[in-house]
Amino acid sequence: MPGWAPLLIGRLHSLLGVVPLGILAVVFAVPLAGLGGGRQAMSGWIKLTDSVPWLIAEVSLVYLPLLVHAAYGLRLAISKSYNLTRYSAANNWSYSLQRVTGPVILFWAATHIWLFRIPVMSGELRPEDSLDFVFAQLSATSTSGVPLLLIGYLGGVTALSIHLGTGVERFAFTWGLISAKRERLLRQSCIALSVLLWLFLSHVTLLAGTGTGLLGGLIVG
Amino acid sequence: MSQRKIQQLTLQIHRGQLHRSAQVDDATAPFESVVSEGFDRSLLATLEQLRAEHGTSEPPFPKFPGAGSDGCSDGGCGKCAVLVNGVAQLSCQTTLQSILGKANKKTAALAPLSKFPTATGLVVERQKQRDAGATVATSAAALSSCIECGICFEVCPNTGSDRSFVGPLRLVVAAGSFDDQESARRLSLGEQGVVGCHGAKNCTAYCPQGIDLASEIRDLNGKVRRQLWRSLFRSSSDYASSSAEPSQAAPQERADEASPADGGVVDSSKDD
Repeated sequence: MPGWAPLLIGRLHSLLGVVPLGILAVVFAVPLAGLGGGRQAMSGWIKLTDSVPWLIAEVSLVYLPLLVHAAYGLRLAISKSYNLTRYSAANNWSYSLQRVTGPVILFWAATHIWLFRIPVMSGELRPEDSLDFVFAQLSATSTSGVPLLLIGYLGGVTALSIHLGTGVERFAFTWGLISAKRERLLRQSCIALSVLLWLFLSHVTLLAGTGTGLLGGLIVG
Repeated sequence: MSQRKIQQLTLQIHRGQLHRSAQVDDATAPFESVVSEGFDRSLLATLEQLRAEHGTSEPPFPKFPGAGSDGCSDGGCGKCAVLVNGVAQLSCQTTLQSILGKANKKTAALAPLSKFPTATGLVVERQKQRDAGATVATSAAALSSCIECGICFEVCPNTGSDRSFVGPLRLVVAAGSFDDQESARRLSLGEQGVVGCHGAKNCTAYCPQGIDLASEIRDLNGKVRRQLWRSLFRSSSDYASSSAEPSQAAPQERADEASPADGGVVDSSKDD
């Protein structure tokens, strides 16, 4: 297949974004959904993630593919031009937002792993203490009283919701998986996915940082 | 007694290559003219009137595409595409009122399409589009109403003189021949092909003829996926014969490949 390398890399980039993020969404959604149900359940899940098979799966199925996706995506985000100010059609918004949110997610994910995953992986932080550590960090405020990390996290989950929704739609386009008839339905489904994901992730982020989520309710101690 | 506000549109007309010279003086600065009546006219008609008033040479009045017998003035030839305040439009289909909008005073900067080499004034060389358009009628039914204006290439965020992506039109032309011509397959699968399209779909949104180029590219993506799948999972002997395809192709196909009109073998960098 002479000369096909750019095409294969491009298609692989698309695949390595949707699949690991899909895995991550499911793996995170289940325990996070139980966050309002109490710290004990959450701590139990964090303990599970400390096992060796889990770490191997986490690194090989999520981190490595996402790292490849991020590296190529960053190259795209930097090298492609944007013309949204002149051509503001809905699809161009979707395209531009997807490109812009990529680097934001990369920064956010790196911060998250650095602050919360590496200390657990290295044994610096006990898994059973990590939830309190996350809550403390997210509710911490700067000297002027601004919860900077919480705001950053809300920005991160917003970027992730947009990136995943637009990414699934673009994945279907670049792989030629959708018919003309179903394209509109796919667009609506992807918007719904983005909104639901944003509501859910913002809810749990606020719950962890302030004790009150978007949908109300308090963390049970 | 209410006083009617006076409408004014200042047209700032780019002088093409002259304007790009290092020194900007009276001869190279944009040509400016204030229009205060006839806002229901098309931009092209206004330019023609201004040229009649100011002369036909350059300077003082820059050349513009689609003028006089060169164009149809009816949105059917695609020659008069220019940038109006940075946005690609057919000047024969754009009224001054639509540029003015709700404002009473406004300046409209007219410039040549930015992704094609400028010939002079507002006129550009759209060789890429012509190459593709030569086979439009036979290779892709969706393009039967294409006027080769170059707007799809201009509005795509992934095209440009510094990029290898051939643009939506040539890709759709290749899509029409994908099953029959090796050259079309090579273009689609190569680094100038579908990998350069990232689904912004501006080509569809801003095509003055309403052609859904993005849908054609999506269908081409499906063909490319199936082709990749076949190539990745068939035996090495099949692959060897596939690699030899171009040299074993029928004489007619080789002739097609040699033609710049097939949208598949012309190096886009040469066009720039």
